[in-house]
Amino acid sequence: MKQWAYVLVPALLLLLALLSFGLTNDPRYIPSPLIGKPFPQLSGIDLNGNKVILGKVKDRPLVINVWASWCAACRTEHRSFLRGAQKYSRQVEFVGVNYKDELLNGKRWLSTLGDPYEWSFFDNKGRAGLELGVYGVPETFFVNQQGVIIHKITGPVTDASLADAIAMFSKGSK
Amino acid sequence: MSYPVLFITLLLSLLSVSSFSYADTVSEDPLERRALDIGKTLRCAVCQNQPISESNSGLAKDMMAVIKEQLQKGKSEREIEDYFVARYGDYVLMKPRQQGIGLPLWLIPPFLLIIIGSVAFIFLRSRTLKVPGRPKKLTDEEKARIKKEREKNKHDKD
Amino acid sequence: MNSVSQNLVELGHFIMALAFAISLLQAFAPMLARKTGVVRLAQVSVQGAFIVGGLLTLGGAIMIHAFVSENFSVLYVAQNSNSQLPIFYQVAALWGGHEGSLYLWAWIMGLYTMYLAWQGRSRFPQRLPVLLAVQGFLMLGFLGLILFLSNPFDRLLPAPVDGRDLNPLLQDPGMVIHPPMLYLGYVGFSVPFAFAITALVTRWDSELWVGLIRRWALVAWVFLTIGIMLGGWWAYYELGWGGYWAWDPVENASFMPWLLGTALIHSITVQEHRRMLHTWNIFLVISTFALSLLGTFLVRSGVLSSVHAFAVDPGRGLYILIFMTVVLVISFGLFLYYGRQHQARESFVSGFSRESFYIFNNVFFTVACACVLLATLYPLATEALTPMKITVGAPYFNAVMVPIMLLIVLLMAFAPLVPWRKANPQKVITKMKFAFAAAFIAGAYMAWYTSFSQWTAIIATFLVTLLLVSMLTDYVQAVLRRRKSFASENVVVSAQRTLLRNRRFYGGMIVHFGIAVIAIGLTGSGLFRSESAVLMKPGDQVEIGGHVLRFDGTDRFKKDNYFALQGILTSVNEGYVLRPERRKYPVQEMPTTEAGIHSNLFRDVYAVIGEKVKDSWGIHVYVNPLVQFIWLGGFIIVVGVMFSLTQRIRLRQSTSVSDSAAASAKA
Repeated sequence: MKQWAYVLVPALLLLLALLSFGLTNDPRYIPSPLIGKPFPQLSGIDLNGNKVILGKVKDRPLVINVWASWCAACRTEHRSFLRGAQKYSRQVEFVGVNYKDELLNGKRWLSTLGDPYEWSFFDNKGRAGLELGVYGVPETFFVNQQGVIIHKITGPVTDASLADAIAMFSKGSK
Repeated sequence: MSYPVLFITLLLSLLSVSSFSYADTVSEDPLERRALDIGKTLRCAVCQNQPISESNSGLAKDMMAVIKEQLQKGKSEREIEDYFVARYGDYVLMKPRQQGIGLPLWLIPPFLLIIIGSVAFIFLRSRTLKVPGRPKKLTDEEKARIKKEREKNKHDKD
Repeated sequence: MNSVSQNLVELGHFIMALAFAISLLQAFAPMLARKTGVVRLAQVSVQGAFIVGGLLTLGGAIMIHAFVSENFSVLYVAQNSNSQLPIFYQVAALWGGHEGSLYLWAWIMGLYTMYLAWQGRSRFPQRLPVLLAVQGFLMLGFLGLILFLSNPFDRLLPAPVDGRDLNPLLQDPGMVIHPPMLYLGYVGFSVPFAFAITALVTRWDSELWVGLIRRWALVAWVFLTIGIMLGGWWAYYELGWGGYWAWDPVENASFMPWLLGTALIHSITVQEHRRMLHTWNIFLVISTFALSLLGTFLVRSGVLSSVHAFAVDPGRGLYILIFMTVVLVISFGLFLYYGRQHQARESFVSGFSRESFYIFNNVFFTVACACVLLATLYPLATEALTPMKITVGAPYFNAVMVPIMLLIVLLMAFAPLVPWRKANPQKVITKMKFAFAAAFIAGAYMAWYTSFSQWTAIIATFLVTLLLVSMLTDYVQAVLRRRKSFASENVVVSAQRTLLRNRRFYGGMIVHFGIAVIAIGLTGSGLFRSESAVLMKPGDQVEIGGHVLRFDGTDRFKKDNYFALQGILTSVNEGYVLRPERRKYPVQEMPTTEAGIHSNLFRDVYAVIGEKVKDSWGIHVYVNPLVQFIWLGGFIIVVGVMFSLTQRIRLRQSTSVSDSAAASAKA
C-alpha cells in the first residue's frame, strides 16, 4: 500500500489546499495585464464637449475613475472620491470616465452628488473602456508621472484603498 | 418575333425581376461569419463561462463590434486576439495558449496517459503467472534416453 | 394563509432537526455497541435508517404543500415560486434553488438508505448496522448543512404578496427532471461507498458483496447518464446556441463521476469473473463517490465561475469543504491502512485477454477523468500560484478528450471478442475481418466525402463502423453457435434466446451500441454542422445546408407568466414552420431564447431570432446533422442497462474455489 500512499497523500493534500484557496478567491475578478504598461492616449471629448486626451499627464500623476450614473456601486465609492479630491488634489489629478452613459444623465449625476473630477471623459460607446480592459464599473486606474499604470482598483474604492494607492506614487518614484 | 410579343415578354420579365427585388435570398456576410468565428474563441469577461458570440451582455456586444471594425481594417485573427489579450489578459481566450502558463495543460494529458498506462502495464506483468516456457525441442540424446526408460518400464510392468 | 399551513412549516423544521438527531445515532450506534458490549444497540442504525427516510419524506411533502398552497411566508417558496407559475413547475420549484435541491439530495439519500436497510435485513444482516452507520454519517453531514446553513423551512415574515418566480430557464420539462436524475446518480454511488468502507473496517471479503454493488453502481450510473443526457438536451433546446455541451465546470462535475463510474462497472466485472483487482475496486468506489462530493462542492461554493452555479456563499462552501475533507481523509485513510486485507485471489494468465482489455478500459477512463479534473481546476491553480488568470474552455476540452474517446471506441470494438484468461490475437483478428473490411470501406467513403480534410470524422467513421460490425458479427456467430445445439429452433427464437440466455453480456452490448449511436450523433452534429447568421426582412430567404427558409415576419403575444416575441420561418422545400422566440418573464425580468427547431432522425434545422436592426431581424440558423442520434443513443443505453439488470444474480455465499469456478463458467 505504500505505493498508493505516495500518490494519494500528496494528491489529496494538493486538492484540498487548492480548494481552500478557491474559497478565498473571487472567480470573477480579472487581474489587469496593463499594470506596468503606459496608459494609452485616447482622444475624445469631455462632458462639456471640449476636445481632450485621456491619459495625458500634465503635471501630476493621474487617478482615473471609470463611473456611470446607472452604476449602484459607483454611488458607494463616490464620497471617498469627494473626500479624496479635497485631500489630494494638489498631489494627483482626478479624472473621471463616464462609461456607456447618456450625456445628460452623467452631468445630472455629478451636479446632484458632487463632482470630484477635474473633468470627465465622455465614453458613450464604451470604446475607451475596452482599450483599458474595463469589464465592470467602477474601476480606477493610477497613472504615475511617467504615464505608466502602476495600480488598478476593481470595484468601489474606500478611503483607505484610495490613500494606499496614492501613497504608491511617492514610493514608485524612487 | 413580332413586336407585340417582344413587348409583352419584356414587360413580363421586368415584372418578375421587380417582384424579386422585394424578397431577397440573403446570405451570410463573410465579415460577420469571420467575426462570429473569432467571437467563439473569446470569453465574455462579465459572463459565467460563455464566449462573446453567445452572450447578450453589453460588453460582449461591444467586443463583437470591435472585432468587426478591426476585420474591416484588415487585421488578422491573431492580431485581434492579441488586442484583447493585451487589455484583458489570457483570461479572455477560451483555449489557453500553448506557450507559457498554458503549456503544462497541453503536456500533461499525454504524459498522464503514458504514466497510467505504464503503471497498468507493470501491474499486469507483475501479476501474470510465470508459465514455464514451451519446452525446447528434444535433442537426439534425450530422445534415446527416453526410449530406453520406456523400454525399461515396459519390462517392469510384466 | 391559515394557521395549519404555518404550523406545518414549523413541523417541517422540527422534522429536520429530529432527522439530524437520529442520523447522529445511526452513525454512531455500531461504535457504541462495540464500546459498551450491548450488541443489540447496533440495530439502532437499522431502525434509524427507516425513521430518517420516513421523516425526510414527510418533510418533502410539507415543502411541496408549501409550494402548491403558494405559502410565500416560507422564504424559499417566495424566492422560487410565483402565483402565476403553472402547478407543475410549482412542485418542481422545490429543487429550483440551492436549499431545496440540497434537501432533495438528502431526501433521495434517505430513500436509498431505507431500501438498503430493507434489502440488507435478509441478505447481510451482520454487516448492515455498519453499512447504515456510514450512510448515517454522510446524512449527518448533509442534514447539518441544511439545518444550519441552508434551511428551506426558513420563514419570511411578513410574507410578501407574491413570490420572485422560478428562474425562467428552469421552467421547462427537461430542466425539471434533470436534477432528480442527477441526484439519483450522485447519491446512488454512496451505497457502494458504504460497502467499501464497511469492508475495510470489518474485514468483509469483497467477493461476498461485489456482485451486489455492481447493481447499485449500474443503477447509479444509468441515472447519472440520464441526468447528463437531459442536461445536454435541455441546453440544446433552451439556450439557443445550437450546442449541447460546453465543458462548463458544473457539467464537468457530473461527467467526472460518470467516467470513473464507467470504469467501476467494468472493473467490478473483472472481480466477479476472475477474482482480481480487489484493491483497485475499493479505490475506484471511494473515488467515484468522492467525485460526487467534489461536484457538490464545486457547484455550491462559488469557487468556479459557471453558468450553472447556485448563489455564491463562501460559508456554505467552507462547510462542504470541511465535510468533504473529513470524508476523504477518513475513507482514503482507511483504504491505505486496511487495503492490504483485500487481495486478489487469482492472477493474470496472459497479457492479451479480456481482463487485460478491461484494464485498458480503466486506464483510458481514469486518464479521461484526470484530464477533465485537471482542466477544470487548472484556472484555480494558476490563480493560486501566479498573478495571472486563464480560461480553459470548450476548445481545449474537445482537443484533448476527443482522441481519448476515439481510443475508447477502438477498445470497445475489440474487447467483447477477446476471451477471458488467455486469448489468441490471431483468432481475434480473424473474428474481426468483416468488421475491418466494413470499417475500411466506410472510412474510405468518408475520406472521399470530405476530400481527405476532416481527419477526425474519417477516423471516427472507421472506428464506429468497426465497433458496430464487430458487435454484429459477434452476435450472429453466437446465434449460429446456438443453432448447432438447438437446430430445430426457429431462427427468430434462436436470436431471442441467445440474448435472453446472457442478459448481462448483451445488455452491455446494447449499451455499447447506444454509445456508438451517440458517437455518430456527436460526429455529425459536431463536425458537419452548417451555420449562418443573417439579417432578414419579411419575405427574405436564406439558404443553409441545402435547406431554404423564408422569413415571414414576427408575432407578439402573452402566455402564462411571460411575454413572447416569435419569429416565423417557413421552409420553402419542406413546408414546416420554425417559431423561434425571445421571451421576457416580467417578474424576474429575465429574457430567454427558445430555438425554433424542426427535427427528424437525420438532421435538425434550428433557428434563433436576435435583435432588430433597422427593419431587418438578426436570425441565426443552423443545420445539425444526426443530432437526434445523441438522444436516441442515450435511450438505447437505458434500455441496455435495464435489460442487463433483469438477469438474476447469484450472491456468493462462500468463497471456495469450486463455487467461484462454477459461477464464472455460468456468467
